[in-house]
Amino acid sequence: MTAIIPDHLVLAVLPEYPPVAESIAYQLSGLLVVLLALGGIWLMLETIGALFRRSDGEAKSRAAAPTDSPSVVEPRIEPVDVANEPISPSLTHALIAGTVHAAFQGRARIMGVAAVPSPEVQAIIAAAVHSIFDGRARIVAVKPLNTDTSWAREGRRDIFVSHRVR
Amino acid sequence: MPSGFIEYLQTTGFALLTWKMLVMWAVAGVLLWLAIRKGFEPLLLVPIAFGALVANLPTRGVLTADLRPDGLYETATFTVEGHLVEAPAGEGGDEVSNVQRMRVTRVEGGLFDFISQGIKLELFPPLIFLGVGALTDFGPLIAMPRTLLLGAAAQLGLFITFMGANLLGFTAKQSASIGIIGGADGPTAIFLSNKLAPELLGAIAVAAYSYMSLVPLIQPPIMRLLTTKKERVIRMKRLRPVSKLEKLIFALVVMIVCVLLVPDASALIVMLMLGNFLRECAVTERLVKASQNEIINVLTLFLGTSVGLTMHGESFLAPETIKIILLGVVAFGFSTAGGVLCAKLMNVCSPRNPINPLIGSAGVSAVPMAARVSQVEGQRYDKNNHLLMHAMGPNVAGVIGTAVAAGYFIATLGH
Repeated sequence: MTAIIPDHLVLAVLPEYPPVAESIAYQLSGLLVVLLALGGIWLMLETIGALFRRSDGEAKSRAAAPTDSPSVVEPRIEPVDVANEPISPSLTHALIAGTVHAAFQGRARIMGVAAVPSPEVQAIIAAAVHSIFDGRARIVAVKPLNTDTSWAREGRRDIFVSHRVR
Repeated sequence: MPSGFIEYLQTTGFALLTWKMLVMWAVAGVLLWLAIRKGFEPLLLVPIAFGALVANLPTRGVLTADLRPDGLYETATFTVEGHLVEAPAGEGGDEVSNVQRMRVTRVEGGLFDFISQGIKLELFPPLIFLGVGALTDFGPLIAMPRTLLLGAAAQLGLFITFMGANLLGFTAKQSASIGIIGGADGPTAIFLSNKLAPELLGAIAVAAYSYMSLVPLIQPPIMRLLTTKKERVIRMKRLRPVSKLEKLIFALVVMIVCVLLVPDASALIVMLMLGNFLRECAVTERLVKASQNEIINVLTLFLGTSVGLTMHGESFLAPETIKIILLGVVAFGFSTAGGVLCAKLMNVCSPRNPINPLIGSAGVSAVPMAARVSQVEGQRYDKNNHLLMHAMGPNVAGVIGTAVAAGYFIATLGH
């Protein structure tokens, strides 16, 4: 819909070559319009944001409040301390495989992992561990397995335990 | 045989070449070099430069350019042929007595006579804003809405340049069109120029897009000049997460407020917020993808080429073009300074929750280049200080601010 603006609503009408004073006044009123528009939006957003923060706070406090019927107990998530625990070979293998799969969108296949991991593999392991443990784990050492057959055995064990065997 | 050959040569384009056309070939070559070799806004500079080259070739069937009595070239006009039709009996009456009907038998024009109507009829810039809205995440701005003020302050360059241009001999309408370069928002600059000073459209568009690509060179010295080392290492609070509902409400609020305050910017604001609403509502995935890709890409191609085709040597090679290029830097500089100084002022008013003044410069639109400049400058002094998301707030606020400023200019000068 086209709005017809009455003449008295036009903020300023300048001649083609306005005097400096008139030009400055025109600029100031323009800057004021921009400040009013964006300042008005700022105030509205602050108000709306405050309402949302308040409702979020209430929802959180309701969730944190103790209930009379403790039939359903929410599992408490504790930080995982894996700094001194060796990561199982199957987990390491899965981490590397998952990260490589994601990075190469399934176009790469892992042929093997060198006995001493290259810096690239170490970086992949570090990124994967960081992603999975959300920064709560620190890699102290990466220990390669003794023999290649261990990888194969771990893979078979993984597949085996992932299916119900009758 | 030789006489026939000479007659044929006279029908070729060689006879129509002028020295100004040859100079414009060089200008187009420089623009292509900047876009391809230096990577300066290639998505726009390549079509613009190519269009500029075509505009200065003696083409047929591409674009009609007529020299008006006032010495200016008018492009993208086409001929409509037809004959008047008698009004059917019984359909007359006082109300329609002034209306005449015409049966169109032929429409004659070049390819870009029609495509360029997208600029003349002001269709392309708002439709590009649809794509911009679909691509923009206003989350950082909603999480820290006070950065809207930085986007407003960064419009300072527009108004200061207005006066500078006026003092250099440009009319008020032309000055407003030149000043909008400081907003670093190409579609808005084209939208406003087409309304107020279409004769300067080519030069203004080239200046706007060239300077947008030069943001990493223009802004840092001004940012360093206006800030202390202590201010540059200010770490800002982490932004709160913003819900989907908040983003939807934001799109509606911005649209309503801006349309009520500056109805002349409605086309830009409405399309920007429509694109953003489609994105955030998360149920119109196909429309969002079309807006983010096909629509904006096709329109960018047509817009850039149409703008380039306005760069005819006879009108572009004038002292005014040099002045516009110079004034563009002034506009950019003052806009950057306005944002940085506003951030410093806000820190004086609110010392408990300080803003790193380096994000103030992102108030000029140039999304997301200006925000990246803030991030890079911040990390130069503190490698672990990540300002990018904070800078995105004033950056997208600048888009809204420039559209509002354009609406003000149109409201006051365009009627």
